[in-house]
Amino acid sequence: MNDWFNPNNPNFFWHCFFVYEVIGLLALLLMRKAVIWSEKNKKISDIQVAIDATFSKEKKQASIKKSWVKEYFKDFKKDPLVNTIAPMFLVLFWPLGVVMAIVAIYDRSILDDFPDRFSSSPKGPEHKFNCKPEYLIRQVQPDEVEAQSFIEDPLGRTPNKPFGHLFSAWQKFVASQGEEQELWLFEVPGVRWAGPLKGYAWVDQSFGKPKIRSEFIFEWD
Amino acid sequence: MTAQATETLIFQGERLSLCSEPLGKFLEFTEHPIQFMSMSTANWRGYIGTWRIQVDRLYLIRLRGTAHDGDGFKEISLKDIFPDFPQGVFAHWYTGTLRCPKGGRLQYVHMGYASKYEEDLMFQVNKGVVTKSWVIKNGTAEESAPKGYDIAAYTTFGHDLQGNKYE
Repeated sequence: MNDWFNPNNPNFFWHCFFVYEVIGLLALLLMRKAVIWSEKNKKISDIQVAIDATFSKEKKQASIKKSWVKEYFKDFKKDPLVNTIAPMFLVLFWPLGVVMAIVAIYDRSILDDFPDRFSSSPKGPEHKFNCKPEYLIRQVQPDEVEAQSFIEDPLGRTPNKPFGHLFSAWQKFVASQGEEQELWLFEVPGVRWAGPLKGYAWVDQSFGKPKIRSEFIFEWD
Repeated sequence: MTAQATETLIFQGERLSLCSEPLGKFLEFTEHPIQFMSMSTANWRGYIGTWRIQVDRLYLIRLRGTAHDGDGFKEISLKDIFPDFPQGVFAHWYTGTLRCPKGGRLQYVHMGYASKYEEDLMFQVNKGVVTKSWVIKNGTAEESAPKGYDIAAYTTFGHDLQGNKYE
């Protein structure tokens, strides 16, 4: 064993790599526990967080109960490439994972701001919105929006309803309106890897700063 | 990543390989409950659609795919996504560019739709309406070069690209 870290040992590199990986495994397990602990014990320091906690209580409890292994395989089925490369990357560069875990403990919103529009997977209920307060254009009324959103189709292969084949998604969005929420038109500008998006969002203005509560995207490029 | 099986576009009676996926964002933004399942490394999206340009509009007229169904999978067709329109739907949700490679192969790239062919027939689509079409000339292929879009190799997970189950 004393010979393990002798630079003259022909397996010196592999011994160091082994120790690096063992430390990494322990560090990642520890950080995972720390992240879960911090999520559970996050202090409800402002009204916004309190409301979020109330609305998503059931989802949070469900997600805590779900096995991460099952979650991983579910994600793997959706996006096998990303979910193969990401763990390999983490095994080799685990200190980065530790840094990200520390960031997540202190301020999860920093991680949430990473662009996710590359993703080909369907977004789950926890997805962050494409719309941000700065993309809001003007307040509109649902009736006005519906009247302007019928699709012209000479072959009649579109429902004669607002937003055509997107109507059921629109209905779901309309039904998601919470108390004192306003309907706003928004446009997300295009970026290098994705074109612009247009949609409507339910906006809560009761905290002074607009908060996006849900969104419906009807045009994308 | 493996080269991907294309969608099919019927334009003026000709069947073209379509290297764009106009249904992809529709499924994502409407949070469609059907979760397609890849049966081959050459088709990670789990379905193949047939599209037609008619009266200057883009229509999805056929869909064949597989989706998760409990522990197994089930075949999916257009009526599973659009129950009231099994004969086809107007793709009014789509804005973007469609690319249809044609002619001899100039360069094979075993990733996505990255292979290069002699010509690309392009269509600009705005909310499902075709507003412009044009041809990009990429070069002249050698006489022995394969003609038309193809995939050199892929691994299947119990199905072929046409959805036929292996026994």
